[in-house]
Amino acid sequence: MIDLVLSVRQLSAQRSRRLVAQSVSFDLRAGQALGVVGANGSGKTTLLRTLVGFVSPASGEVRIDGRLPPAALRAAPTAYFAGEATMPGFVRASAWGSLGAGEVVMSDRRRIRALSRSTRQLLGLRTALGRHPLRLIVLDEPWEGLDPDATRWLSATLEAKRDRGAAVVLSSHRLHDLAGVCDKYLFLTGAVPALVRAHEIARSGLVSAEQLIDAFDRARDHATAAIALTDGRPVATPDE
Amino acid sequence: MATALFLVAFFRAAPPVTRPIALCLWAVAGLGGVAMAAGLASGATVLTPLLVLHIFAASSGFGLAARRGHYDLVLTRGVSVTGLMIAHWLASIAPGLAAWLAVAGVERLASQTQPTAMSSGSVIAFLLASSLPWALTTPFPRFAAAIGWLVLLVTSLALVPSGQLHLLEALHAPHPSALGALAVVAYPMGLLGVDALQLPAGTISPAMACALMAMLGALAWHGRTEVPLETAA
Repeated sequence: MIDLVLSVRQLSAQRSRRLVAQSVSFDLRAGQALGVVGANGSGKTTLLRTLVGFVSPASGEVRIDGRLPPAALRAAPTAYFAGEATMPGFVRASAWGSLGAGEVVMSDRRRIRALSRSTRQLLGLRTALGRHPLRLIVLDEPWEGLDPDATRWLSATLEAKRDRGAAVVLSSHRLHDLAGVCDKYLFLTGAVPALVRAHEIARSGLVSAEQLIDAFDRARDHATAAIALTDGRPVATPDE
Repeated sequence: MATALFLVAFFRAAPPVTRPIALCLWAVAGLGGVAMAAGLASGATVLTPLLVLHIFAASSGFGLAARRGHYDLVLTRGVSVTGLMIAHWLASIAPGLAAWLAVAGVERLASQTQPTAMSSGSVIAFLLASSLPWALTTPFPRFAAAIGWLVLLVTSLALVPSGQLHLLEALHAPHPSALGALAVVAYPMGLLGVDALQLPAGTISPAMACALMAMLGALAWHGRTEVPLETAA
């Protein structure tokens, strides 16, 4: 039986009445990870907020475990984090950290604004990912600002949660980090985003950063047409 | 139940009322309580600065923090924007309400009479100070409605030095008037200790209707609109 977590059908997202993504369709099963890749301003953040129901779609629909968000989030434990700037700076780090699973993830009693950027990002991630089990994880630029240790921790945590059955959606400019985690990629390159499965980029399904960059560049060069990435396989294939 | 407990934990960690305002509320309640116990001040004298501070506390602002993503952690739990706003409102008025009840308790113990804070006029003044500033500040930065009210009050009193007396006279007049109805909103301190049931319904009800409509309007507007990040593309 297919354990479908996230189902997106003909989704168009908009920001201030400007369409940022059109006709996006994909399914994400438990244990799968999707990487969203695009330039600044391409609509990654808006698309991710649409997935969790914080922004209504211009058209199409999102379903999480068969239900419409945001009501679906009550039944499907979800982690969403859009970067350290989204945390209120006046709150004490220890108090914020305890809001995840109720456990103390950081004992530092300084206010969030007094922490380094890397520490703030880590605090936000640990708080959001602190709940378990998680059904859906949606993270916007999660590696941004992290130091090497924290980067390794995040990649290992995401892989562990994915392997335990969470569906994961990540957006990032750091393609070498995405390449190690995701099964499929959504390239926001033009009016209609291109969905590419990992095995369409690399036969083994394990995508290297170089292959991902190459695939993204090719999709960008042919933004609106269905193009062949490897061996004549079309990029804009319907998922599964 | 779990959601309600999470909301309590969230607003304890990230209170919408700033610490200086909360400390001022408690300082006024504490010093006022001592003054009342010593017979140096009346309930209305203590409640007047408390009401002004409460107007600032309730002007806590919601939309800006929401657009900055401060409430993403709550929304991720499946809490509706309307539910979040109601919790935000309760958290915004909680410090003022606690200080108000503390003053009422001290006055009751000190004088063994009906506390000024519990008179119908005082309760209406508190409800107006709790609702209008919060609702009007939801799309704006913190303190917007309180600063607007203060500027309006100071300017009008500067232009008409006897304006306070005019407002009070209109407020307590036996017949309703437009100035009386305006006085309820512009100078709610005039209601402290007053038996509101003795005032004409036409004096009190427009302000109450405005407050109710402002609250419902704010909930409907923000509940219907979305929560994009202001920095998002």
